[in-house]
Amino acid sequence: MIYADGTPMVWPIPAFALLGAVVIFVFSRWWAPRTAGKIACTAVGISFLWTLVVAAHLLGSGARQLAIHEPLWTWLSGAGPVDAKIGFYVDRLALVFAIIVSGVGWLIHLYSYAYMEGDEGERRFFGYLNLFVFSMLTLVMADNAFFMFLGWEGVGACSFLLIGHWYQKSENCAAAQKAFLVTRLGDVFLILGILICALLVGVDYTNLVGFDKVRELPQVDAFGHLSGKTVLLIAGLFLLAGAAGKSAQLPLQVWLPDAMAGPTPVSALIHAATMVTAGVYLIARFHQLFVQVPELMAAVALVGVLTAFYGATCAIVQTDIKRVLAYSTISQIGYMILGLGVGAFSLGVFHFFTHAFYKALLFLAAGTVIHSLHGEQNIFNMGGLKRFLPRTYLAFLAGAASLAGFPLVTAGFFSKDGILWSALTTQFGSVPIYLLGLFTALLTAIYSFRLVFIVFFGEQRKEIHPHAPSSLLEWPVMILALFAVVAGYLNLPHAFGGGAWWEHFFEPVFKEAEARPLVHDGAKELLAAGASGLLALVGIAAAWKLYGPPARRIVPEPVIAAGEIQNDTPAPYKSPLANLLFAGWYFDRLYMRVFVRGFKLVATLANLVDNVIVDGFYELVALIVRGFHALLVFFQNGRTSRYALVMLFGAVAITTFALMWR
Amino acid sequence: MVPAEHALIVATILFCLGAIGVLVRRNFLFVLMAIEIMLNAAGLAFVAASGIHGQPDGQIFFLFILPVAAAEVAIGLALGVLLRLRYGTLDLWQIAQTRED
Amino acid sequence: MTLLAVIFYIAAAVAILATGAVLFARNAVNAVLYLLVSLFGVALMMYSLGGAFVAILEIIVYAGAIVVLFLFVIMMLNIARIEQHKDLQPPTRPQLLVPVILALVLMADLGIAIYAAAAGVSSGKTITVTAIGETLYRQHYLGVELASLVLLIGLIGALHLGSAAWFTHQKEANQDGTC
Repeated sequence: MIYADGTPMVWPIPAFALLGAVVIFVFSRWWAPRTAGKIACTAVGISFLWTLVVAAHLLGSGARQLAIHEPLWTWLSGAGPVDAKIGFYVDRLALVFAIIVSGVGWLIHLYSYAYMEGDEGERRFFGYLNLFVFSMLTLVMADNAFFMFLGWEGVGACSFLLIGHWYQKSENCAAAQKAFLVTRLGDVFLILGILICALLVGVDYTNLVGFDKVRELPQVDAFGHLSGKTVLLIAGLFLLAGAAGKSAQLPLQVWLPDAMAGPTPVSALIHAATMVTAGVYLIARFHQLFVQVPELMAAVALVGVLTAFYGATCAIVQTDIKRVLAYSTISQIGYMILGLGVGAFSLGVFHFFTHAFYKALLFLAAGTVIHSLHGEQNIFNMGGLKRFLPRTYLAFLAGAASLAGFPLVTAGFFSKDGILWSALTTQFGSVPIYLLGLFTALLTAIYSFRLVFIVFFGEQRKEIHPHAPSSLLEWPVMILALFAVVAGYLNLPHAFGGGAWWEHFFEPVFKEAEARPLVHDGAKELLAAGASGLLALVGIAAAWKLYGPPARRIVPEPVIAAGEIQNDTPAPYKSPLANLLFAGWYFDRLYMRVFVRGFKLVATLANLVDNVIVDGFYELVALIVRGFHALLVFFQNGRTSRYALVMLFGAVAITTFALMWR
Repeated sequence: MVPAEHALIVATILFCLGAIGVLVRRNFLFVLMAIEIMLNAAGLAFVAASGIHGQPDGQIFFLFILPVAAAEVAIGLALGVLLRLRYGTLDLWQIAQTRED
Repeated sequence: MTLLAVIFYIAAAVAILATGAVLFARNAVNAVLYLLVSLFGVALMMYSLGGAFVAILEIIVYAGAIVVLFLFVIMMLNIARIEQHKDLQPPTRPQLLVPVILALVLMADLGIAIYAAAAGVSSGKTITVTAIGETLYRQHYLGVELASLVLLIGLIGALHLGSAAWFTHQKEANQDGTC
């Protein structure tokens, strides 16, 4: 699996995951259910190992290449601008994503092996999980946008299948359908954007540098003589919409909280670490397009910061542990998009990198908690779990600290601070965006430690009997916790005396597209970092004050009936503001009223038109034919008397006519 | 003396009654009877015409109608017996709905 | 109004009423008897119109032969009573509607034609058998041959159908026997 010149082949990375999926789907029915999990873990493990081999080749000392381009065969050609090839392209961007997908994916596979034990759909679960890893690897490693779209749809399908894993409950099916339909709306825009790009410069990633030539064009003939810049703006907005659909950004974020209906490892892998960051990958991959139009960058940054704010505000009042994390994911991806939007592409990807660790960790730890409490998800029924789950508590604490941006010792601090600093200082940044981002960081600290204090501190609120988690439920979490702490030092800023290794690492990918901070003053940078670090500490203190064991809560404990929390759970708070945030700013209700009811109205109207006008015409035709038919039946019913009647009628008619024209 | 129109009108009425009988009765024998009535009415019309002109030709035509009617009844009744044996009924509507295998 | 005219009108009324009774009869034997009355009425009308010979023939052939044939068949097939045969039901009003309308139109047509022709008055003079015979065998001898042919064909046809009926009956009887 190594080329003659020593370059490792790339295609085995997704191929192993696909092989695992195929083997599970075809053969596992004759094997024990646990075997499927073993196969899945092995397949993804090999994929991960091979990714490391490729990484070692690309990054090792004496590496002669920056990227491996591996065209395999042509899929479609000659269909207008569509020239789709199957092939892989692994540069440093794709490599980072592939490492996260296969590496974190592998850890989550191992965790799932313990978590899903005894589930009736175990074989199916691991088959889909492997298929997902294959699709995601295809998405990040494809060498052109059409092939990437194939992977993009594949992860959407796997997401749908895994959200609806427990399909016996209709809410889960509804959540799966909602996720599928909302992301599909984004996908429609994505394919439109890809087609525009295909018309402009082609879809091969090596061609994407051609966008700067497009910007210079006074008019583009294929697009109604719009100027090149306008066309780029349209294409970029379409791509942004596609990214927003997949990455749960405003205004297409509604599906992600409901997607928590799936098993917790699925939420960790698909709806936190990997699939939902596909939008980040997309924008980073098409950075040559986005940097051409400043307005486009502004739109990206605005979507990012607003989504970050939105997610943080909603997360602060949720009562379901997984929904808190889901809104937090929305918020953190908002940060990533903000980083991309202010031109700090490498920092946006860096935040993806750290987020993948600590959010996967948080989800897995939450899964352990839920598992130990026999399916309880309402945080107000938890409490005092520190004593029962000490290792999980430590891991969760590390993840929450990273999420909150606890200064200096967590990965989240460095990645988020880098983005905020860029938002303030690059050419695309501005002060209001920075301030909103900073405020969101405060909210983030509050809600993450609210979770910690309510779940792990204080007294047990309910008579619960937690059972100890097995070791396989704990040590993947510990590994992730380690990375959640140390991964930040990969990009220690110059102001802290670091080398900003990560940013240099991405220089071959983003080149001059990466916007550098315009302010080169270490003191100011330290000041800004200090401010955000201080805010994180303030947030943690506020959370202690509000939700810690000694707190008399300003926000009273919500009243939730037994059962799981869904979007249509009745408002549990007394405060209307809290209820607004609890229901996600009523986006669901709005969409239900505007789109679903509007669609139903249009459908009713269309049905009416169809029934009355269109069908009416054909009913008329049928009526005429039926009339003739009835006439023939009247004459030809086989009864002698009827024939005689017709004969008499003829005789009468002839007599009458003979008399009239006599 | 009877006006010829009256005789012809009576013949017409009888003919129409016979025709109605052919159309509305379900039983084969009744249809045959109604046909007899129609033929009979035609014969009456011939006789009336003969009376108007004082010539025997009309009555001779009635003489031709007689064997026609006799033959028709002979064949018709034989047919009725056959129908009854084959279908078990003389109901023309029912026979019309029955298909030969 | 002469006696013959009186006889004509009375006979016409009787014939029409009897014919109507045939149409609505619920019993096959009754219907045949009404038919007999109707035929007698027609025969009387023929007599009053000067056709004494044809009146006699009418009674002999129709009443004496045809009606008796009907009676024989009814007795043979045993279909006299409505209780066993719902096909003997008299026609209902909806069934009557269209035929009656057509018949009324036809009557109107024929009535118009008759009155338009202004046929004149029947003399009532009896046409003798001699005159009929002479005309028949001098001018219409071909018709006589044709009539005999019609009777022959009727004979053959009735015989054929009757034998077919007989064989059918035999077959069914055999089948019954085997069962």
